[in-house]
Amino acid sequence: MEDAPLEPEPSELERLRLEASRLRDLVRKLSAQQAALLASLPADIALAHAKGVDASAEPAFRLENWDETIELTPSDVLSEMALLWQRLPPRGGS
Amino acid sequence: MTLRRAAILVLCWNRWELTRRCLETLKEHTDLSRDEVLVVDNGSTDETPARLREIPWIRVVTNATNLGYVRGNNAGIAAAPKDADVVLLNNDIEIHQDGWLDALRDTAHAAPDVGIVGCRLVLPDGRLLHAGTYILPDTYWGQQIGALETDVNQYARTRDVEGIVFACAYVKREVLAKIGGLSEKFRSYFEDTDFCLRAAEAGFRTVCCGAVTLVHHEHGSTSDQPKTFESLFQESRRTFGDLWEKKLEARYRHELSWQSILNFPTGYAMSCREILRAGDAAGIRFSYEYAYGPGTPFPVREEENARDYLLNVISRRKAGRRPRVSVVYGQGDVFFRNRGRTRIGYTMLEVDGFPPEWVKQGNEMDEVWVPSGFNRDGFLASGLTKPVHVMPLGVDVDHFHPGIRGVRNPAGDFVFLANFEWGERKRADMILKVFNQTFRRTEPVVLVCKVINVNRPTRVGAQIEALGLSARGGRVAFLHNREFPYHQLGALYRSADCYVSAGRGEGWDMPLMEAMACGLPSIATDWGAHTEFVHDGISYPLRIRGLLPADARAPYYKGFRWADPDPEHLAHLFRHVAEHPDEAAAKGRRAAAEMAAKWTWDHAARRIVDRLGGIGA
Repeated sequence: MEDAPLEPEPSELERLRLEASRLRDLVRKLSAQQAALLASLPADIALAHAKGVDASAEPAFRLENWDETIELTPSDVLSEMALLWQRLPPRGGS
Repeated sequence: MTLRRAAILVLCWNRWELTRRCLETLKEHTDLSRDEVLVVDNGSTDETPARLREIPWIRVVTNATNLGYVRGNNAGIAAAPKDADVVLLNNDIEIHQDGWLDALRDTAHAAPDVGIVGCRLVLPDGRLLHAGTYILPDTYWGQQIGALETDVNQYARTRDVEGIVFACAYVKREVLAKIGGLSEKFRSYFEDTDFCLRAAEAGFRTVCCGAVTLVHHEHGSTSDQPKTFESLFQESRRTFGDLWEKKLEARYRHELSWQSILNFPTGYAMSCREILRAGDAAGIRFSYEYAYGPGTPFPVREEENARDYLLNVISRRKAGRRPRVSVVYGQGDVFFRNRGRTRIGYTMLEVDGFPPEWVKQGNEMDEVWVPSGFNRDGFLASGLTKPVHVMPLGVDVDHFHPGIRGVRNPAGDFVFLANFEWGERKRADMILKVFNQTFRRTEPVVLVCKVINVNRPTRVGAQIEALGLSARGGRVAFLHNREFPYHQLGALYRSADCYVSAGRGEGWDMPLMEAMACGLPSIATDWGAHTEFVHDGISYPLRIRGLLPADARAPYYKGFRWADPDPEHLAHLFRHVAEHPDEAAAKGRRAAAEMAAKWTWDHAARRIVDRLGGIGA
């Protein structure tokens, strides 16, 4: 046999109403802050955020031109450094 | 500026095109208002005599027949003004540097005991050919220092040498007055070494002026006649041996058996090569024996060819069954290979103590050498009871100096350089993560990591990707398992702006010392053997948070501790150095000056000589 639902006391109802009102105010305030923050973001990140992508996640670094070997390759410093600077990703772009 | 005038003697025999090019470049790059050019025609039968007559700014001395190199030059010396210095210049030399003659003259007159001045010579393809010469009594085969190295401006300072090739030789009048001209006991070859040795006996130094570089088409007069070259060379070699054998042997004041490792890409091997070179120059007659191989913890046999003339000659010298003094330079568990009557073990380690087996074998030596006070303290704390001497290693300031040419980042980024074998000790993971988190990709900063991994199970690429670096963080580039010639390493350092050595412990840290000698500021962990030569006036010491158990693959570390470098301080130093490049560059300049003043291989060799004197060897 199930217990009958309890009827809240009037004082408890009032406390819950006040708490709900306080939380609604807090949500409004946070939403406003979020909107202001989104407005300051670059367009691609704001768009990703609007689509529900986790905008805080950094894209992972990926190795390029990597040959997984345990052999040492005789090389020339001057040509290797020239090649390295050619392959270095530029500042900024992704 | 010295006012002594000079007579430039150009000896030629046929091959007009070489002579023409020599004279054209000489005229283009030399102020001849005070100095005179004498062309000695050694009986040419081609168009040379006629062409020479057409040149108004030279004086021609004509020999009726080909007198050979020595007598031909002596004819020119005899014809030169008696108050002038003499510059012997081969006709297969090209000059592309203004001020070359004044630089040689100023070097010659910088001190009264400088008698002969040579210069750097490069081949037409740009490779270095000559930065002085040496000759060994074992072979009487003169060797050109720096020959065939890629030219990165090594040997750029003025330095004393045993000899120079006379393709370009500035000879002060005082030397000619005291010892005369070239010895006519030689027809060709060896006369230049002989002249330098005779000058030395008369009290004159021979120096190589690294500020001058000329192009040399080697053997311009005999390259078409190999039989002539061979017979002339061997005849002169016999003559030279007869004259100089005893005197060359007498320059060795100490005999030393050296048991070590030469022909592997290890730190001991690289430093062994430098110790042997510098020690030979300091008067130590080394014999060499491989200390590892079957029956040792490194049972691999060593290849015989050291790819270096001096080292090959030394490694062919064998000590007797019980040499008077022998040094084993390697890990402490091969000290037992020492065959000397006086036995010395020379070693180092990256942690705060030494394994029991090393201590046991150390206590069977007469004395132990270590490069640092850090290792001396660790050995004594581990139970070594034999005398222990601090014998620091050194750095080659001819290949590692601020004038070495690197390949600068064309975008002008500030470049940090780290150089490590992949593993726990070097803290590659921390360096990469901290750098990547400290900077953003948009900033003009980059970290270049030279990474070596020869351990088959380790997949470095996967481990780097597992670090969770961000593509938006500081940019990182890798040189993976690249083996660069030693003489080019300076160019690697000079391609960067700051060196990073943030490992847990070092037995010496040669790459750090080389980078500092190249004038780089450095960030270096403030704990370990390298604190012998690193301080905050010339580097950025990286704080440590304390000491940790030295957990790594190396069995020698078991039970000892090493440092825990502070990543927050590393982030601070990365940012500080990148934002204060002028301050950092000034530290780098001070570092280079201090390395050259206190920490060269010559300093290291002199300490060995002093110690050998102390034990009567």
